[in-house]
Amino acid sequence: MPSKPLPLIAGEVQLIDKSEKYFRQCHPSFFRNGQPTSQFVADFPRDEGRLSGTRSGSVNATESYLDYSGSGGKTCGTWAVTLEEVDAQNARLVDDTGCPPTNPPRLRGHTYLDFRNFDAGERKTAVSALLIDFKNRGQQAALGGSTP
Amino acid sequence: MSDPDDGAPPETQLLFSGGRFEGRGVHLEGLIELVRYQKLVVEFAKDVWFEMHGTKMPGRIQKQFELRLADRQQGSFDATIVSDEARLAPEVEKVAGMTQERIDETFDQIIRGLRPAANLSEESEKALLAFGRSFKADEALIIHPNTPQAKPFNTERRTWLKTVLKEKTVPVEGALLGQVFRLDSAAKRFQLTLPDGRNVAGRYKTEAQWESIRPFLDQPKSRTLIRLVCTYTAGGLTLDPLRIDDVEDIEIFTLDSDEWTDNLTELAALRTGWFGQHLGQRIDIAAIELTRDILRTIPLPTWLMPQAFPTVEGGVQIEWLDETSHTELIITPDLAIHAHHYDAITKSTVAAEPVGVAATFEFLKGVGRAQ
Repeated sequence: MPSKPLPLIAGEVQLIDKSEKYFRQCHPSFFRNGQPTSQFVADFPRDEGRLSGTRSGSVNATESYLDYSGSGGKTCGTWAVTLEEVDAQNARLVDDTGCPPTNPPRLRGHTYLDFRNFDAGERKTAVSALLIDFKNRGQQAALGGSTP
Repeated sequence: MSDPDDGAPPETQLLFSGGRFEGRGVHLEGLIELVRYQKLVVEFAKDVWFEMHGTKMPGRIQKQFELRLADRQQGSFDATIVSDEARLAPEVEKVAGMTQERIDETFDQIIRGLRPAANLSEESEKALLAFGRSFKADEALIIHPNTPQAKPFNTERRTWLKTVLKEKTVPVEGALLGQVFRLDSAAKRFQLTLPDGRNVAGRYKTEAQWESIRPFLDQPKSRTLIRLVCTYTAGGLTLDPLRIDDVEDIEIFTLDSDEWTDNLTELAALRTGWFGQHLGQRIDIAAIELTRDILRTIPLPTWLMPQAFPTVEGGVQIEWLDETSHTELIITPDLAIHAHHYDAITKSTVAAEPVGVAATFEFLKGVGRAQ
């Protein structure tokens, strides 16, 4: 069980609607034969336990894809999990668009999946579980528009 | 250029128009462009020679590409240029023909707004950029003269060319995978054929372990690929390799044709920085080979084929994913193996650090990924 989450800072808002989706973009190297690899949900040291994505309350899957690729990010499409699925892993989603501006600027509806209070083993298990959820929901958008 | 006939030197018609090339005679300053054209012919011919023979063009052959102004017409400057030699050696005839085809094709691409072919050597590129340097705004070399497709190579096209060749290329430190042909140790030149069939001309300044790949040179059907850790010039929107500038290290990567070949070749061909944002080490060959050895232990066909992915640290991840479970093996560049399995139904996790192929196979059997 992960330890207690870190306190939020001014401008951050924790998502509470269980049906709201968290969109994550998948790097083309982490996608093969129609499926993403767990690395697309794994965080790199520079992420410091906060996995960037966007929330469906602010943008749809296609907008999320276009915003990300339009800002120079490499992506082969949008994938999604719900807050309920994130909750099941004892993690949380945090909208930080109300925080002071960054350079480069945050994308519309920027929301991070908060793994900062997870140790390596807990994170690995949560990533596996969420990857299955991402996979079972299917790709939400890619070049050419939305997919069901 | 007309077809060579019994060794008679071929003739090339160059139609210059505008400014210094019009009216009574041609201004002598304009003749510098003929000198530059000769340089272009010589450098392109050297490239063609190297591609055909795999060696540097001998000086006596190079001399046969020196040109002479044979005739000129009134009006615009319509120059006929021929080889300085009365007769061409048979091997030179062929090179001369291919050289002119390449020059014509290059100018044709330029006036159509296409980047010239990737296999231009640095010297040919310089010669190409030098041609037309003295052109005034109203002067041009006419490409496809006297045809409906006639178009000018003028200062506007030359400026575009400079932009494409100079500003849109970047030096890359990375790795390229392919097969090596026509290694010329004396000239320190070679050709790399990429897996997609494109050829890239290469040079090296420092001595590398070329001897180690002698058995694999010039073998188009070999399953052995050579990975060159090198610096190369890349261009275009996808930063395709245009020219290899130096080679730091050479690695041999042997493949057998099986279900994993394409997947593993893709990993080996990734360049440093493949992830973007300065992340993504090139994938260690030893890690790829260990991946191959592990994958070969899995009896085929299997209902769920694993996939191999790169890791940003330069290792490999092998992964099985279905609707209710996830298994992964992370193989690090120093060949450590981190194994992990998650079952979403029982919400149970198994983790291990098996040492070697046999122990990894036992782990996979234990979690139901192998039998």
